[in-house]
Amino acid sequence: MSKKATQKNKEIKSDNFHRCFREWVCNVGTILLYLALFFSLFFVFKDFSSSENAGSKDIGTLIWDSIISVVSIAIAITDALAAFVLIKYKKHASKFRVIVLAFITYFITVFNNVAIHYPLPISITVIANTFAIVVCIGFLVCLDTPVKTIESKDVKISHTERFNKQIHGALSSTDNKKLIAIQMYKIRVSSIHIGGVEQIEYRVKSGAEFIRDGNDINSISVVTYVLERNIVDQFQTIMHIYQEYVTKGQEIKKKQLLELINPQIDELQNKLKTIEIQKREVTKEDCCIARVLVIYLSMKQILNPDPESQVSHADYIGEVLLHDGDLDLSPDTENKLFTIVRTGILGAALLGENARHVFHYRKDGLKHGRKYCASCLATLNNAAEETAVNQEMDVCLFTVEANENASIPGFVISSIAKRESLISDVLNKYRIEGGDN
Amino acid sequence: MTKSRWLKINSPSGDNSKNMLAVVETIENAEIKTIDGQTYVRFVVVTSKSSKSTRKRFLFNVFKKESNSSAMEEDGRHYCAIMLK
Repeated sequence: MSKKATQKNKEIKSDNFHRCFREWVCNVGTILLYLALFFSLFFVFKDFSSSENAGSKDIGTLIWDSIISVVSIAIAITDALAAFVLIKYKKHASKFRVIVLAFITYFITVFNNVAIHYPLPISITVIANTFAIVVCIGFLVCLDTPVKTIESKDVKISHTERFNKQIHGALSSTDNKKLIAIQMYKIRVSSIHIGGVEQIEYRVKSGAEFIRDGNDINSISVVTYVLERNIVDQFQTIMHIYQEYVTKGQEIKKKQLLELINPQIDELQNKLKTIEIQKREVTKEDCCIARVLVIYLSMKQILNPDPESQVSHADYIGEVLLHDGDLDLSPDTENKLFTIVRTGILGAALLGENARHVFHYRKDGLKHGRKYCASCLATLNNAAEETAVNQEMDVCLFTVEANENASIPGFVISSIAKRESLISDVLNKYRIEGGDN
Repeated sequence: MTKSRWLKINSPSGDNSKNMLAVVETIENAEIKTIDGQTYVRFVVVTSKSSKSTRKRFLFNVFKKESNSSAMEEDGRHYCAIMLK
């Protein structure tokens, strides 16, 4: 078990202890309230039996004496203490009800003192006391009702269900008809060794999703991508340098970037060429390499646009449109690289939280009229050792209806950004609470 | 503002790794360390989610793009783009 998991368990135990302690303190507080009430009634009946000197004082003096009497002050202190305990520690107790309860208990004590010494008819005293008792019991019962309701709700709706409900709310809160599906994926990133080579494994599992009525969507249930750590780490280092270049716009970095990207492209292309040289089947790792390669090519295209190419928009930090044979492979091999395994989500995981990955692949030259925008919304590092790889990512895949044009319309991007923000808020909220989602 | 995980730069003797390291050294807040002859780098990750100005700039850019992007779709098979948030 990792250090973080142990720490989390300790926090949960500590939290449970505090919760039990608070409940215990609340129960004592409630008992004190009852005691205050019965204490008051005890003195009423005691004084009824010894009220021979009644009627010797005027009403003003009598009320004042009752207010400052030892019994009333003792009740007031008990009431104040009980009310404080209830408000402080009973999470769902109504402050208003607690305060009213405390005042009723105090005033009935004062009233009883006055009633005995004035004296008031015994029937009025009994009616007033009965009314006070009924009201106090009613308030005590109602004080507990909201707590019970919420607790039973908590049992019914688990943490994960509440998370899914809120995520679904964030996903579906759009009327933008161009967004036809929004699917969440949880990715666990870990390091594995295959044949003595350190590899990074991305285990992707589908999560909450929203699909607009009338659309068919193929969804990935579970998929695992594997890439050499060398490829992943060099890609992410270059990506950071690239972002630095984009932010600061230093021309010198542009040249350096191209010098870094070109050898990577050559290395990856050479790896893919072995498919045809060795006449072997296209593997899942080849598909992952192809994804890294096209992202590199999209960066290169922006950094060093081919003057003959029609793709020359410097608006994106990467953009490329590949034709059959652009990867120096046969169309059949290229087709397999992008259709055997869908790797668009891997692209988003590689790019990290600061960029979106937009992509589409046209099978057999058909226009499907759908674009995809994958975005990594949160990354959590769980690695116990500094240089180890153990991360959790939340990636959101937006399926956009976009006919003909390669670009996604601006109002759709605006809607995507809003959904990203809403989903990130839910993810952060549940991450802070230590959810089990 | 968080930090990325430690990224391994393989074979620091290789030309590309040397070049990469040289560029990384020029980046503000980038951390470099060597463990058992293996070089690792780490960066500060600024996760500022779509500030208004960025979004506006981005929307403008996207609209600008739409006007001439249809031509490139006609015979392309694989489209890939990266956009900053």
